[in-house]
Amino acid sequence: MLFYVLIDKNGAIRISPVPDMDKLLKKVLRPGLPLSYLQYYLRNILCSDSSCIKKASHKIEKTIINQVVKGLKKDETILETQFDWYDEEFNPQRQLAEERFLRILPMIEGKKITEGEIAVLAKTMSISNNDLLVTINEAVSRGLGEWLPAISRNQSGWVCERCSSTQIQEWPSLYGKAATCQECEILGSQTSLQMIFRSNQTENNIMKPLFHNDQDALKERWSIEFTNAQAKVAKRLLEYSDELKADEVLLWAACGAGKTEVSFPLIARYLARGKKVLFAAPRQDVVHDVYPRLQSNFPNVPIKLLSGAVPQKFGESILTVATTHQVLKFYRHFDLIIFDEVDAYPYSESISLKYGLKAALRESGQIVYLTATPSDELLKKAVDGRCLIIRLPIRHHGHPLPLPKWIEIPLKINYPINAETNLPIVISNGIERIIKEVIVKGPLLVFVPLVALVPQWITVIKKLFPLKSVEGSWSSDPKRREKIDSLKKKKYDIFITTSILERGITISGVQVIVLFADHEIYDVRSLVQMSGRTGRTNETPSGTVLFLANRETKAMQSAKTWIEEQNHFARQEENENA
Amino acid sequence: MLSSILHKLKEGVNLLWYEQQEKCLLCDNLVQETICQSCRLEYFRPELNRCYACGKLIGQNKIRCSDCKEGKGPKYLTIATSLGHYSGAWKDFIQKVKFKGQPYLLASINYYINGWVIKNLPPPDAIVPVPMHHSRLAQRGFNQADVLASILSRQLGIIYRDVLHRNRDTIPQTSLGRQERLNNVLGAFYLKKDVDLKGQIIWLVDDVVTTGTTLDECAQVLKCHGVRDVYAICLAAGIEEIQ
Ligand SMILES: [Zn+2]
Ligand SMILES: [Zn+2]
Ligand SMILES: [Zn+2]
Repeated sequence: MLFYVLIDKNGAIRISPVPDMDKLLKKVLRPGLPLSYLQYYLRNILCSDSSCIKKASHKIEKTIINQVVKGLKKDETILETQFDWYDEEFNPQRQLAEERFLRILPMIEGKKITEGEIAVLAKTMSISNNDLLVTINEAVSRGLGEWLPAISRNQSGWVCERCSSTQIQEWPSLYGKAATCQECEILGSQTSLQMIFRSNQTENNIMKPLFHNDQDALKERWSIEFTNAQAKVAKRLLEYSDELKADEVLLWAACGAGKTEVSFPLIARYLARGKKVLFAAPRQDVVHDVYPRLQSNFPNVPIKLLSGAVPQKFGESILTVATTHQVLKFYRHFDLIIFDEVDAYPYSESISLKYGLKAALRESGQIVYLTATPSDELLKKAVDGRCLIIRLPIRHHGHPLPLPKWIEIPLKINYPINAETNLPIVISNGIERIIKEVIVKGPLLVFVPLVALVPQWITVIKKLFPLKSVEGSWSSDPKRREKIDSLKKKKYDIFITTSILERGITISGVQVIVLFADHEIYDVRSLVQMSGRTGRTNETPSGTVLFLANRETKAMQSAKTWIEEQNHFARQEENENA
Repeated sequence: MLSSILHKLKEGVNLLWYEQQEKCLLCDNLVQETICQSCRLEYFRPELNRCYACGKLIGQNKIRCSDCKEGKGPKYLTIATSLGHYSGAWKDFIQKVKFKGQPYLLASINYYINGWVIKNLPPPDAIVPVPMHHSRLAQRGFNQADVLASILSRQLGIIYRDVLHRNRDTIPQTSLGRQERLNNVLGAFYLKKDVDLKGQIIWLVDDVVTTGTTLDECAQVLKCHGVRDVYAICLAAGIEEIQ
């Protein structure tokens, strides 16, 4: 989108994508340029805040042209650099309708809206792109938001205004150097030739309260009945987040402790006050699993689901469920963010997503992290007192977590390259015996460290157990969703998978085998998570976890210690509660 | 001229590319080549002929598609050819280049384009891109046909000449019906001032060919100004149902 420098009747300089909508319009510099170029070339003339305006002096018109032309030439533009000031008049036909303005305002509040999204939003609102642009520009001139280049430029390089990444691919455009952000491409690509509208934090974020009786958040009927331990933790969450206004709270729960539900009373209290809540998780599977649970627990609340797997919808909403990437679309919007599985990839690895989470939260807002396996970074925060910590070591049925057992078996990662011949008889016999013992207890989940191993081991195990139903899935498997549904319905006896199923899934009676448990890809957290798939339901509160490997790694030992500690802590808690 | 800037770009992209060259550009297969063999077979369809009049992919025993046989196709092109079928991951790739601000991706596939055009077309005197209207160029910041022409020019050492001008912004061809498409581009192009191409052989470059109307319109302008032969090169074209 092209922006224009204009000088108004008071001699003030501004930048606008729709200069003919400016009632004070006097002169416009044409042709227009993408915002990133204007901001960069005129950085000493314009203030960083676009609403801040410098008075134009006599020579300024010439100075502006000179700086723009000089900048473009330095960037090796192929544009003909002929710029001129034109006396122009306000165009009354494009008069802004106040009614339309008020209708659109809630759609853009608390958001970052990209050039690509303008068209989507315009369609949703049944108005033209241009009318929407005019409306958003009005919001900017009323100080409700800002126009930013999608990728900003400064002396040291490029910065993506959506995800804060500085890892940007540069390329030569008509204007000269241009750039595309590859970090947040998943949300639609962004280049330095485009702009983004970013809403400012609104003074009054309150929506219409949903319940009247907010004292009863704890007494609500939730889809699961809280154990004493859960009720205690839910109460503490209310105290820490809502009453003490702690910036960050970590809820460290055992796998299968029911940590998600524990956050519902807190969510209810925020909703009751008309405050906006986001439930976020790094993985689509987790988000799609939580969404229906929120729906059944908050039947009167319209819930918005945002993930790469569903088409994007605009519109305000008090409760949003989203993958962490979607968080990059918001700015100073939420009063409470519940962040499930905070240590999962890709969030755990991404600086951009960490930035995005903080940017989506209002300055006075609270974040609650939920996890069974907090990262060292988060634990350190808790130790330093920068994040309050609450522990929920007791599983909801009260039984301890099954302890993993290491079985030494000379497995090599290149087994089997060719399923027909390569697996040594000692190994296939060993594995057959182990699986036979385990499988009588329930369906079996077999984890392998690499995607390529999934189809290979399906073949191997099918050969060993021709009468059993054997399937498998991995992250890019097109049938992943339906296979996982079938798995939950217990349609398979043996299911081979990668780390995609290491968290968030509950299959009654499931047993776990981790093949190549000594593989470097498995850290203590993923081993604990995989072990935590077992014994999750009331009917089958225990289970078997086997680590099959050549050697016992430090991660395997730590996983065992970690689970033992959690169980020990759970017993202590129970004694205290008794 | 865009090609001079592209020179720098291409080196940068190549460096980046060799470092990352483990995944197929189109399907994420782990391979040692830019585009894996199964994608090449699926999208480039080397076993099929191209309609010499419009570049469309056609059966092995044909030389023209049925539209062109009925005289509905381009009339001013000597030969048209297209690298692949506008579908699936190849279509996604071209859309990424055009609409998602990633023109640098074109530099990574130059090997396939070069090979294809050298095999199918005689050497020209100059390479000419199908121009984009200036208002659209201003918005997008680049013309993908221009980028492609510049890459070919530099790789094959052929002169690049940006000699055509687009009068008005036509509606994207892919969104229109056949008759609308034919009317859409009439009179849209003219030759820039003081350009002499008499007796020359020209390669005309565009990203996607639909009916060939745009290419034909450009070719007509070129031929009116004494160009001897116009050959058209595109990244992708439609396919004629093969019985
Ligand atoms: Zn980004
Ligand atoms: Zn491929
Ligand atoms: Zn044809």
